[in-house]
Order: sequence, then C-alpha cells, then structure tokens
Amino acid sequence: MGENKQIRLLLLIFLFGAVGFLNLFLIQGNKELTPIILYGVIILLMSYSYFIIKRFFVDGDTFIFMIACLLTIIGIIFLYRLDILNLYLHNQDMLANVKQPRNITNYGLKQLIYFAIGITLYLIIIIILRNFKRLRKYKYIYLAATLIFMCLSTFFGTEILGAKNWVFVFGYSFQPSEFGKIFLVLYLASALDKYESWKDLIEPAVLVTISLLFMVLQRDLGSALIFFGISVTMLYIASSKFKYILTCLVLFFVGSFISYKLFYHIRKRIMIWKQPWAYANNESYQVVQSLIALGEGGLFGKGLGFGHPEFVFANASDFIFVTICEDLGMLMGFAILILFFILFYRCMRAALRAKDNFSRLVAVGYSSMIAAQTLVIVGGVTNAVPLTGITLPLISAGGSSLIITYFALGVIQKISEEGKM
Amino acid sequence: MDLKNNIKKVLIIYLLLFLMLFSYIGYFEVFKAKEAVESSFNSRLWVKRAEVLRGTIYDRNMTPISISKKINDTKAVRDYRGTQYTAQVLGYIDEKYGITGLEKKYDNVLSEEQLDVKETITNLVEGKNKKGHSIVTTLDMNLQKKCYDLIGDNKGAAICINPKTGEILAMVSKPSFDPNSLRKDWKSLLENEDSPLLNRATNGLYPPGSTFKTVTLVSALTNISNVENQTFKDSGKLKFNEKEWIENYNGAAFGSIKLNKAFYKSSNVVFGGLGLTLKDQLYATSESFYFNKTITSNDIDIKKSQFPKAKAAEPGNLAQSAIGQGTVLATPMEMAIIAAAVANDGVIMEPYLVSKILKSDNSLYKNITSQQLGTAMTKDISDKVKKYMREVVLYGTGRSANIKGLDICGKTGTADFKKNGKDMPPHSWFIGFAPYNNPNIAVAVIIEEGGRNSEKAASIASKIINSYER
Amino acid sequence: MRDWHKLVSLCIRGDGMSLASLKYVFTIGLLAIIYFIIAYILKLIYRDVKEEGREKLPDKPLGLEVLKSFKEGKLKKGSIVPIYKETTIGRGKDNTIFIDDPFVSTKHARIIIKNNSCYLEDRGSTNGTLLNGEIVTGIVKLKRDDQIEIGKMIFKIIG
Repeated sequence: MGENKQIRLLLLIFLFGAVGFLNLFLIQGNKELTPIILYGVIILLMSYSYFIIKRFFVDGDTFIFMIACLLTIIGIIFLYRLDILNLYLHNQDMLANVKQPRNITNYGLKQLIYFAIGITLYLIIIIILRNFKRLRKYKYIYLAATLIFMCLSTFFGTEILGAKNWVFVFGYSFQPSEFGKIFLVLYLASALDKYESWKDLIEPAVLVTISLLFMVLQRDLGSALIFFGISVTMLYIASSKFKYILTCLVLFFVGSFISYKLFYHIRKRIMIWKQPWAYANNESYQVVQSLIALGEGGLFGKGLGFGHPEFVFANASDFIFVTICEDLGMLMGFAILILFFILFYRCMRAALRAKDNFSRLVAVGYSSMIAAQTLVIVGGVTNAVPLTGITLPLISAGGSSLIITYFALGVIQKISEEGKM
Repeated sequence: MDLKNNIKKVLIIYLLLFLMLFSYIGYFEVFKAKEAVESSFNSRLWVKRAEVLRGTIYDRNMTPISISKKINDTKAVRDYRGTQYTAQVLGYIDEKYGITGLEKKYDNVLSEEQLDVKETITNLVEGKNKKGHSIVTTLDMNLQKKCYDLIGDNKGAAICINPKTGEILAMVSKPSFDPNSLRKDWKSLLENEDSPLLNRATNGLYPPGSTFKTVTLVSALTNISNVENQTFKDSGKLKFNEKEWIENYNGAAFGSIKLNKAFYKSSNVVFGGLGLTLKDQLYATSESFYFNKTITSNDIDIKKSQFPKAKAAEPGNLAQSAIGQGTVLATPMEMAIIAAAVANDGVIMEPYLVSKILKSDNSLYKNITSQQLGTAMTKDISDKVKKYMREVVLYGTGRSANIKGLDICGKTGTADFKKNGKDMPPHSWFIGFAPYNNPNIAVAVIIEEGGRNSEKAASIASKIINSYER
Repeated sequence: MRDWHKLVSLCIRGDGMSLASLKYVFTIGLLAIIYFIIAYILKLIYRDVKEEGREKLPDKPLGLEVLKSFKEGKLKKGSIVPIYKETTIGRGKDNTIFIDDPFVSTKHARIIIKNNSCYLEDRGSTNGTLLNGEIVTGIVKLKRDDQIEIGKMIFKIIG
C-alpha cells in the first residue's frame, strides 16, 4: 500500500480527532484548554510512532496500529466528555449542599497516560522481538505465570462490585486476569505447537480448566467466557478437528448447567438477562438504564455532551458503549463494531501469513481475545447476552486492559511482518 | 494449507457473531427502543423538567400556595405552602410518586413558558433561566383554611363555589396529608384505610340523602302542575307492600301539609310519594343536574354521580331514589353544583379553579372566563326553590345554620348507609347558598358518619358562609 | 464572542433550540468522517487482497553479484542474482540459489529481506559462511558491497 495512502489515512484519523476534541472544547462550561492539550499529545504520540514504524518496520501490517489508535482516540474523547460531566455534577452538588458530592474524575488524562505507555510497549515489542518463534521454548514459564496470575486475585484480591478480580498494589489497582490471558495464550500456543494427538491436549486442558475454575470462584464470569472462547479457537486452529470443539461445547454446557444450579449469582444473572424490566428497580437496574440510554440515542444520538450518562452505571468502563451510543447514536456504535472487526481481520491475517505454528497460534489467540471481549461486553450491555463485568478493549477506561491490548497488538504486529503466503 | 482454511473458517464464525450482534442492536432500536425510553425508569424526563423553574400557584389574592425554588442547575424543591389544606386539590409533583391534582392538569403550563421569538432570543442572550407560567387560582386561602379547620377531626369534604361564575372558592377533603413530607409519609399514606390521598370533594361518592330532595322538588315543580297548592297526607309511613315502607325521621307524622312544609320538615313520606308520581321524570331532572353525566371542567376531574333508571315494577326504588337513598350516589361537588344552580336562577356554571395564567414576570398572559354548562330549571322555579330553601333554615331542619343577618338558604341531609351489611352512623350533609338576595356563595358540606341530626354539617356550613361574608 | 460561548455552554443542558443545530453539525461531521475512514480502509484492504497474488517487488531491488565462481558452477563470474524476500543458498535442489559444490551443505545459508534491511543467516553449514572474511554465526545484517563467501563462490551485495 502506497506511502501516500497511509499518510492520508493517518490524516483522516487526525481530522476525526480534531473535530471530536473541538466539540469537547466547545461544550465545556469554562474554556479549559485540556481537550486541545489531549489532542496535541495524541497527535505527537501517533506521529512519532508512525514514523518509527514506517522507518524501521515496513513489512508489518499497516492497519492494526491505525485502527487501534482510532479506537483509543474515540475512547479518550468520550472519557473526557465524562470528565466534563462529572465536574459539572460535582459543582451542582456543591451548590445544593449535598453531603457527599459526586467525585471529579480524570478519566481522559489517565487514559492518555495509559495510551502513551501502551504505545511505548507496542513499539518496544516490535523493536526488540526479533525472532518471535524462539519464544515457544518457554512453555513452562508461561504455565507458571498463567497460574500465578489466575490465583493472585483469588488469594489477594479485593472484591469490587461483586467480582473479585482486582488487586491493589501501592495504591494502584490492576487486574491480574488480564495479564493471565496474555500468558495463557503463550502457553497454549507453545503447548499446541507440537500437537499430534489427543494426548498432547491433556496438560493444556487441565490448565484451562483450573483457570476457568478460578475465574468462576472470583465471579469474573466475563473473563471465564473469554478464556474459554480463546482456548476453543486455538484448539480448533491447532487440531482442525471439529469434534474437539463439539466436546468442548458440550463440556461448557454441562459446566454452565452445574454452576447454574450451584451458584445463586449465576441464576441471578440469567434471571436479569431474561426479564430485565421485571427487576428494573433492583437487580437489573444497570441493564435497564443501559437499554434506556441506548434507546434514547436513536440512530444519530443527541449530540456529544447532550446525553445523560449520569444515569448509566460504570459509564466510563463496562458501559462506555452505550454512553457513546446515547451521544452519537447507533451509527457510531456500528462504526465501532465494524472497526473492531476489521482490526480482528487484520490480526487474523497476520496469523495467516505466519510461517510457524507457534506464531500462528499466538496471533490467533490474541486476535480472538480482542474480538471475543468486544462481543461479550457489547452483547452484555445491550442485553443480547447476560451481562458480565469486562471492559471494551481500547475504549473503556482502564490501564490494565489498554496496556495488555497494546501488548497483544504489538506481538501480532511483529508476527505480521513475516513473508507472503 | 489446512491451517489456513481453519483460520478462514474462524474468521467467518466471528463475522457471523458480529453480524448477529448487529442485527440484535438493530432489532432493539426498531422495536424496543420506544418502550425503553418511555418507561418510568427513565429519569431524563425529570432532568428536562428540572431545567425550568416551575411556575407558582397563587390563590385569588395572589398569595403563593405552591412555589418552587432552584437549589442548583438541575434540582428544584417545591414548597407546598398550602400544606394539608390544599393537598388534594392542588396535588403534588414527585419523581417517584407522580403528578396529581392541579399540578397535573396544568403541568404543561407550569413547566414551560410560551414565548414568542423575540422573547426567546432575549432570554438566551441575557442568560435568563427558563421559567414556567404561574397560575392564579380561584381559591381563597383564608376560606380554604376555615373549611378545613371547621371539619375538625371528622372525615368529609367541603366545597364553596361562586354560583354566578362557577369559580371554586374552596375545596377541602379530610383526612389530608402534607405534600412537603410526601416521601417520608408515603408508606403510611398508602396503608391508611381512610385514604388521605383521595380528593373526597370530587371523587368521593356518597348517598346524598335528604339533600337530594332539592332535585325532587325541582322535578315536582317542573312536571306536576299546581303542586304548590296541593295538600299532602303525611301519616308517617309510605307503604309499598307488607314488608317495605318509608318512614320519616323519628317516626314523625306531619299530617296534612303543603309542599313547602314537607320540604322544610324534610318529609320522606311526601317526597317518596313524589318519586312514585314522577317516575322517569325525576330521572330526567337528575340528569339535567348532571347526574350520570360527566361534569366537564378543564381544571378538575369529577367522578360521575349516579341516579338509577327505575324499573316500573319497583316502587320501593323510585321512592328511595327520590329521597336520595337507594342506589343514588353523588359527589360533594355535584351537590354544590345543585345549590349553585338554584342560586343562579337555574343556570349551571362550569366549575373552574384557574382564573388567570401569568407570564414569568407575573404580567397577564391569559384570562380564563366562566362557561355555562346548562340550565336545570327556569328562573320561576328557581325563585320558588330559593324561597323553600330559606324556609329550611328559618323554620325547618336547617335552623342550626341560621345566622342573624346572613340570609342563608339550604337543605339538610342525613344519608343512611351500610358498610359490609352493617348499619353505620349516617353521613351528615348540608347544601346551601347565601345571601338570599343575590347569592355570591354556594356550599356543600359532608361529614362522614356525622350522625343522625345533621346539625354537624349545617352548623359548619353556616360558619363557613359567615367567615366568607364577614 | 463571550455571548456565543455562553450560548453554546447553555447547550450542554439541552437548551439548544436553533443553536442546537451546532451539535448536529458536529454529529454529522464525526459520523461522516468515521464512515469515510471505514470505507477508505476497506478500499485499501481490498486493493491489498487483490495484489496478494503477485509478488511484490521490493522498493530497493537488491542483488548478489558473483565475484568468484568455479569451473562447474552454473553461475558465472559477473552474473547477477536478484534477492527476494527470502533467498536460500545451498546444494539442495530446492534452494533459490543452487550451488553444486561438495563443500557447500545442502542447506547452507539464507538471505532475508525484512523491514527494508537485509540479513544473512547461516543454516548450520559444515564449512561455514564468511562475511567479509569473518565466520557468520546466527543472523547478521548486510549492507551494500558486503562480500559473502560460500564454498568456492564469493558474492557481493549490490543495489
């Protein structure tokens, strides 16, 4: 693809950011320069990274970086929009002498910092990882790392909002399960690399089952679902045997059925999913408000800043998709989904071009990680599937998620540098 | 090659999943979105409301009764200064518990000021906050309070109307509640068997008892020629068959009397007999007083009062209906309208509560004029009924309502009723107007389970009138 | 200007009216741009996919010039062999550059072009590969005029 075309695409993305941040600037009550600064930093980061990639790593995929940045930009725009809202609400609360005024937030700025870290990580991976397939040798390290991260939450975790998947270290919180996913993919890739018969599947099966168990115990059902999705996908790629997939699905249904009977919180989730309006005051409050926001947005939304995300729970993280849809409409929501799919496609394409199994499996693993997460959370907030507490990659506020996603994309980008089919 | 095909298959599966998600969202948007947005869990409507400073409700003397104050850009608090006096008639507006009463009827007006283009732009440029229209009611807060206090610990209602215009001067329902502490009291309000949230004046249906004889009187004067000169025989009992009859109060027998005495003594025998004579004509008269019909009003919702269509073979029912018992049911508002019609030469005026709509700077936006609803009788007849009603207060059962210098006219009523098959203390009614020459106020008072002698309602009504006239 | 800001800031509370048309302008703008981006990406991808069949010629064509050959060698001195993304050298028949020299291993060496740089890898040959006179271990980066010695042949990087 010609150099000119790439630059044109980059400029289009810059244009999008310009319009978005200008809009933010105008809707502020006070004329703060923060949106302009945010935009400036983003431009700098993107230009610098683009330059490095173009100069030294021409062979790699050109779209992955662009699309990931575009999605991150959308995220930062909306996170700052929420900051504006929260500042306004805080001031209103102060005026009304409310005992506990709503907090001022800094989602936008924080996400920008995480973006910078993520992109740096992305570049570092591309630069230092010369011979990716060498990494397949460290299977047992990955195994250990996966287990450690998985159980970190169970033993050291703090329960937030019903799920125990956060660990606080020196005042900063991170999600071990996100890191666990990274190592799980690496482990599965190295284990399935040498796949020949079903005997090779025993060890990975055990690890996956243990991990899933930890997830269910931690009530992090979303991550469990994604883990499962990634494992099944990688299994199919490695073995090409449909019957394994079938077996896995059957086991999944059996497992779900048993957990449904055993665990009240799972029954509650299903109940909320099936009849959200019946429990709208209590249990299904989050989903109901989410659906209302989605409906209010309509096709074109109400305009950036004119929606009412204050009624939506976790509007900066899990439910950011409906925050966006209320402001800019379903059309924007669709655009985001399309972009995620194109990103997924390009990542899978890297897998197609990879020359060795290990690289291929890793690429598939990370690609499906991103795609599955998107499907599960967007499905959850629109009540297409039961709600789970996971984030929308790249867009939701959250350092762990953003950094991990850029790490995965960096690896995929590296793999995509391989030769032709 | 094998692996590549796998990858392509996986791509297609994920594509399908994405497409399914797309369709689901599309389906939601087309079919389910409206329902979601209009559900009562959508707080956005309330945010929109809060952007405007809701208009004030004033009484006729420009005393503010319900007034809002903004505590920040998105929140306002409504001060119901009328507290329990005007709770039902004015209503309340609450995010959780809804909008009732006049607040509901005039919600659009109170929520948003109608501005022309010039005013709109001026407001925007000068950064003036949005306000709604204010409304001036026909209520007299002093009178309203007096009615409320006079009803005391009883349950019941009182209505005062200007018979010439239909303006509602006071409308009280007891037991009542304080809308200012609605949230706190809600549970106990709902569980209270006496239904304090109910506006008894417009929604309470009671047997009118002897006050209904006013209608029967009108019907007799209209339909029976020379009934005034007729002599009736009141032996104390009106028998239909071996088992059923009508008695006078205390078993009194008035002997041979003329119509006016039968009226001011409240003879069940005579009026029951009139019912038998009038048959369907009484039904027609009651309907001209808006029984079985909706009394239209822009400002209040009045429940339909009921007068039964009698089947020929049931003399018992005809007689009972003529004395306001049986299955006859009336709202206090209906009874007030009957009194008002008599006072207004037979013309029924549409009752209304709001006389002016104001702009946010309290200048006049719109005047509301009174409307006629219909005619229930001719002036000749109304003159006669007026005289008879004066006699009730002077010589008859309404003497406890007589106050020197006030020329009060009225009709008492004691309405029998049963609850769960058990006889209860009857309701005490009084309807009337004053002064006899050129009446300016018509009232209806009901004290639930007030007792046999109807003194309660009568004396209360007279004190109300006294307070108004002096 | 101040008033305009006030008016627009009123918009955040949905006061809008005719000034709310500003928000529609932005919405249409953002949606239009993003869908244009999507369409553009799809167009470029489609073009990409179509070109996949054809071998992409590198921007800077590189080649090996034969400096020294041997009697039975098919490649004579002075001939130029172009280097593609991956060029394998060895005695085996499936190599890109096939050298029928007993001193050359079946899988002797490999030249890769990656990210616009050229690398030389010795594939575990018996007699080794020399780059500018030094034994090559693992992967080394090549530049123009480097001389590679494999068996009896010497190549020079050109282009």
